[in-house]
Amino acid sequence: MKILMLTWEYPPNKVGGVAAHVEDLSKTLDEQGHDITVITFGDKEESEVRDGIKVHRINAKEGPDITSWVLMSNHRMQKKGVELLKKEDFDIIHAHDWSAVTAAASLKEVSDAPMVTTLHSLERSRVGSIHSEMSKLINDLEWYGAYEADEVITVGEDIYNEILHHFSVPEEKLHHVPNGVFAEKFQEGDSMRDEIALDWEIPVLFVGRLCHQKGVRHLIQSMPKVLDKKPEVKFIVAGGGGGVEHYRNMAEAMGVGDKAYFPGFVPDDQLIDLYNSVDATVMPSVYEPFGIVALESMSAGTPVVGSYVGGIKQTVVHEWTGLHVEPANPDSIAWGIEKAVSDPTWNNWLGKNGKKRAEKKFTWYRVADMTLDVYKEALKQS
Amino acid sequence: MDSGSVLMIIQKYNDGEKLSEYSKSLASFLKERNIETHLVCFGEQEREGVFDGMNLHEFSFKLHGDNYFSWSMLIQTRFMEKIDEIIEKKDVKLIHANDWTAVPASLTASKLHDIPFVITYHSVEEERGMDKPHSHQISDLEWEGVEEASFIIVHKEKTKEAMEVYDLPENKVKLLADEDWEEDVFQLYKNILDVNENLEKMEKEAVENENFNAYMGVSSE
Repeated sequence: MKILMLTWEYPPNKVGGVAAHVEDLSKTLDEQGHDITVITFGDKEESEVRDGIKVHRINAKEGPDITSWVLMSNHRMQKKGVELLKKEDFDIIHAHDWSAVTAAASLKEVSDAPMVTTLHSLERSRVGSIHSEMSKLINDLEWYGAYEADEVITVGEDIYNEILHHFSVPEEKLHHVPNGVFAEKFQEGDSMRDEIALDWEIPVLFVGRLCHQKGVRHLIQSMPKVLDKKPEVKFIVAGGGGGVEHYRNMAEAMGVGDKAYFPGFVPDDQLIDLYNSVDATVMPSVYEPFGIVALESMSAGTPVVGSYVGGIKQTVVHEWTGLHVEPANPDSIAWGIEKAVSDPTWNNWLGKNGKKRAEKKFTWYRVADMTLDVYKEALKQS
Repeated sequence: MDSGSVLMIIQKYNDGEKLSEYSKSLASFLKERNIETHLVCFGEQEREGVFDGMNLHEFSFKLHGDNYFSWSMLIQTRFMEKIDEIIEKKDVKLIHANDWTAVPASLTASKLHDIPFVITYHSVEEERGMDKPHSHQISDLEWEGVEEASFIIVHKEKTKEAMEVYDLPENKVKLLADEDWEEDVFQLYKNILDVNENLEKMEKEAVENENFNAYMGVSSE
């Protein structure tokens, strides 16, 4: 099958989880003999073959707001798509998130190839409500992406229900396909425990964008409570975004500055080492459509303490691969962290179970097969 | 150019407004020369039919955008869809876009179907002051249009002067400000199509020569 993927981010440009998702899905489909082309945003117009995937990057002038930039980028994506369509046909046009929807819808119209949209998350849940004109437009584009698509994919059960309820998408065209993980990649890390903690300390990792959605505030509020009972714990709060300084100051203000290390954005190879160096990974998210961090940590054999929200409900099994805690509740988060790291034997057992679960249930091969089934459905419908 | 259709792209068609009157006047002139005009634009409701001597194709769109720029970009998807639909059915010789709001879909359709396109800039952002939040993006689109179009038509010296910042190739911008500007536009259309026809002929001959050489065992290198 020839598949054209449209995504605003693709490695090496990574902001959220969409880039890794599209890359891993594309690589797996390529291994299975499918022909994948990606159109994405870049610093300049260029084309390359990256790990067997044809990647075309377009560029667009930034504007005063994200929506105008996205719509300009979509115009350039559409233009690049048309250039490709003149030379080759595609069986499927696959848009990832609202930021690729208008380009995909146009290319669907002019190519007659069916369109598949994956909604990785929803604006109404990311920001809490549709409270501004910009949020309304993003929400509208998410609806439009679902409306125009022949088939819609979501990555979690909660977001599946949200789309069903808010966008009135017919159930027969909505599919739940989870994210996947190359588990072995996360088992090849070296321990960097000596670099992040003292001999007697127990490192606990948070990784993700430092923003409200990820519940960083609640994690920091939980820190004194954890340290009261377990002073050995050391928090590694890894991730970029505009919030680094804000949350570092917050930790200082709460008197836990010396027990919270903020290394900023961590590249992939170091992240793998980190997963292999800590006793637990904590995901205090208030909203998490899927949460790939859980699978990465589980693959490395590290238990996950995660909020009982979105995809974490499916990836983490309470007291089997980690612990579920109540979202936005520092007491509950503190309880989960303390419990996960207090008994080394149990901690080890949770880690082993998690590793097995990631290797068995969330392989990219399985996810790619499920995605192909959706493509086949789209072709049947068109 | 003695038959076929011209596809005129404007953002909205409202009787009495500048761009509408401009399109109407040009369409009426072309009609006398057996050239059909199909005008594609946004409307509050879907509408198809012959109005003011033109084949009007109005499309509607449910999304509103968070400002004028985003709305203008959003409707490009429907522009593309409509343009594509007409090109499939009609013998469209040329696409004529009006202002930046018609550029994205027009240039993409031109690329997809190998149909030449021209733009009339009734004014450009440089001339309007570059003082709006999206001025740089609009100017970028205008420049993209200049690069990709066969010709740019302007009707006032001020617009032409404002476009000098683009460092344009000579003769790319045509200032048509005479009383019989419609005739000038028509001649421009003819020039573009003649050049295109000649290019097609040359391409065809080159392929034929290559085939002949291959048949005779002669390398074309």
